[in-house]
Amino acid sequence: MNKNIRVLIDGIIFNNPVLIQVVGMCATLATSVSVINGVGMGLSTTAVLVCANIVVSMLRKFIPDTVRIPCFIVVIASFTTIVQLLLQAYLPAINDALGIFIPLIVVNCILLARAEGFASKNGVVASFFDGLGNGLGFTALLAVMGAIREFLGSGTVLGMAIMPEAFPETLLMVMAPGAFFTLGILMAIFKHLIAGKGQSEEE
Amino acid sequence: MNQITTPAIRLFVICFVCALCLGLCSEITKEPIAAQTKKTQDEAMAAVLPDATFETVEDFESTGNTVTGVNVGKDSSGNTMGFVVSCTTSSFGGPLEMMVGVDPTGTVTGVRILSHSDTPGLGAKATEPEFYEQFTGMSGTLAVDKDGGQVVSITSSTITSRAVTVGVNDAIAWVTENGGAY
Repeated sequence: MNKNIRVLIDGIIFNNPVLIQVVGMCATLATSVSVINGVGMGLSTTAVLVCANIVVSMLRKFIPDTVRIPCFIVVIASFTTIVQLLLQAYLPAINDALGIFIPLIVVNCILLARAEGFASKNGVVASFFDGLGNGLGFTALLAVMGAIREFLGSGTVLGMAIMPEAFPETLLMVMAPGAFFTLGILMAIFKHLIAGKGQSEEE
Repeated sequence: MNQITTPAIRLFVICFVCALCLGLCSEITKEPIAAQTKKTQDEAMAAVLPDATFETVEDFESTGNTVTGVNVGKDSSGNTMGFVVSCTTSSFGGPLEMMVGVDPTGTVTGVRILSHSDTPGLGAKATEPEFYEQFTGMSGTLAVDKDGGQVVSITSSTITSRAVTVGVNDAIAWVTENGGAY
């Protein structure tokens, strides 16, 4: 059990998919415009990631080495489609907000990286915690980036105005360059903070 | 030979099982999704032309090429209160579906965006009341402020603002030309 918690914390902090592994950049830059978008995208990705990790881990002895990548992609794409159908049917509000980003979960590198790098080599329980940890790490980063960009770009957090009308809205922050600035600064701060502390067990 | 057939068969099995799951999931969610779509449409129609009962116009004549459907709104005694015109225009990220309520004199009674593929935080602001409410009460041929018109466009999303304006214009034009027949 201790090992599983270690895997979970690794995913969230010491081996954070975006800040340390630097995968899933496209989704990170595109969906961190606001807190709601970031959290919605993060949680949808987490759901797909956990399911895909479990299935890949269960099938790891069945999947032939030579065609493992197509197998992973089929599993990931299926779960993404299922999540999209479920959102359309039962959570239309989130579906409206995330619309075009949901299909992009398929091409999010985090999923393939975890399937290839962890789930195909570890047991089902460990893979579950790895998927959950990485998903939550991704969600947390998107939420922080969303908060920073939403605050500086529109003067709101979670859609609520917290700055007076006179607050100068920096439009740049909700556009693509703002995403790069925010991510670069966060990455630098994060690496400085965890430097030397805790080593990823994977390495 | 075995090195080729075994992976092929196993990949096929995985794909087959995944396809089965997808088919099943699609079957289960088909009805809720259809119900959601209909609910969104009904709500949008009620919002752009309140207190009316709607009849679909089967063979309408399209004036602009963006008009995709027309519903006539009637009051309880059968008089025509106005029209709800569905339009699909081309916006920044792809097609933008909208509904425009227009009264028989050609004045806009309301606008709602049903679906779009524009950027969240920018073009997606077209779905917020601050933007679409401004069309209520307008008539004639509209244009966005950048083109010298009266429509206040969304900051950094002129293309989306234009797309909505085109749809509203086509809806008004349809009612002005064909509205008298209903």
